[in-house]
Amino acid sequence: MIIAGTIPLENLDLIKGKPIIKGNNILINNIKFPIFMGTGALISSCIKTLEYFNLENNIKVITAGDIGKGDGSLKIYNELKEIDDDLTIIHYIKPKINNIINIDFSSKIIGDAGGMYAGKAANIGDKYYMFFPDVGELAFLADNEASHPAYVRGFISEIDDKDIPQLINKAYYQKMPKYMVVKGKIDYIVENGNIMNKISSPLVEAMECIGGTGDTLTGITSSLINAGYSPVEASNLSCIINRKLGKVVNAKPNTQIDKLIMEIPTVLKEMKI
Amino acid sequence: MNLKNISLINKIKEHIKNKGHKDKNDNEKKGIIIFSNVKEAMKCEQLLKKTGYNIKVIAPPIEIREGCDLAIEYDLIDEFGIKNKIEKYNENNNKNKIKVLKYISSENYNQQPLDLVKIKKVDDFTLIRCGNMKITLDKEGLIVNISGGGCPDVPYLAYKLKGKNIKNIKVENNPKNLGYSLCAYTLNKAFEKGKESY
Repeated sequence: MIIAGTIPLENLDLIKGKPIIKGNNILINNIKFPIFMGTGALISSCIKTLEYFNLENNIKVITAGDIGKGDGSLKIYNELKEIDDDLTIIHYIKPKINNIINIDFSSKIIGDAGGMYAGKAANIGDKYYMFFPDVGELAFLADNEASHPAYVRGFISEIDDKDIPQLINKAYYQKMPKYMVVKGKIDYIVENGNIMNKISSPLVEAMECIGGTGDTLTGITSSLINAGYSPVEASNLSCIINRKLGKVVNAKPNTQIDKLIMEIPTVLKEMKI
Repeated sequence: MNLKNISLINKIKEHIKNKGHKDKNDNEKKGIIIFSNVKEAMKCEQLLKKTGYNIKVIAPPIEIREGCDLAIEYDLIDEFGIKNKIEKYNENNNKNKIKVLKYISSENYNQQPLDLVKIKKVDDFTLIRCGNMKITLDKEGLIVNISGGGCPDVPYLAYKLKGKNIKNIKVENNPKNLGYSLCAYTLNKAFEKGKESY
């Protein structure tokens, strides 16, 4: 499994390698960065999930420093022109239509964050395997004219949380991946535009505030797929695991994501997965 | 201003006059400034807003859109003044110039960044959301979390802003000035709303 995404550090060159967690940091080829930083939260969620199955060696990371200028993103796009793995997650990356259309889509590509934005902007969502939008991002996917979530038209962005099925339906009029998890107060697991399941408990309202809770969801789901679960099974389980993480740490709006990541093995064990 | 340019402006003014009086925001002929990245567009927006030009930020035309990009629409009548303003700014800001790629004309361009900001209370905290971007503040105004978004500067902004009090953050350190992307631009709207509340 490949994780491709940027880290918000200037002058950090392209790094490719196997990641390990040491304390509160991720180490790749002796380069160190905090587990909460940028794509770090996704990487560490995958490590913590796959460690449980003794599969942590399955992870390869392609990362580079980028504080938004796009320099590191370009290096990552170039690396993705040929992919030698069957599952790749594209995460924090500057959305660039001309670059995303040139990556290798012959294997399963999961789009989250910038990786999803780029695919929608390029109108190639159907080349992806899976997307992970929240409500605001779902509105972007549903708006056929928007090239970025910032350009969602008012009448779509004003659709309330309870109208999510309507937005899912609208999104699937565009080119969308086979699988999608819409994360929110209720999580929706979607296959080919059909809602397969809804997960609404346990509900920890503070989770919406915490930066990185979407990354843990993507990381756990992708890791479970890598461990052999079907996408729908993996999504069902990961939505529950992610919610339980909030319960276990008694999450408040000021809780930081590293605290939740460290509890992934506890919840996996508790759920006897 | 040379005679050639004055003559050009007069011709444009005459053209608009002949088409009849229309609301300045309505069917005025428009031009669009295209930039190489969002950062340049944000700098230019700040400069032109200060000087009172009737501008708005929009998505660039679809043929040249890259995904994360921002352009500025202006009344064509103001083009010379706007060009002049940017040139003067660049003369005085050698190290921080506004890099314009090109000026193009536009018809009915209206894809604008969204403005809707929603606020909700979670425990004793305030969650402010604009589109895909969220910022959470405690009751004193301390930024405790930033979430949402997908551009690489989102985690950079979280790293720079978390733990700081929104009341004490200077303009040069707001998301719009620190960031480079549309996510930063959207986050700034939630940030400004948060600032107003304290």
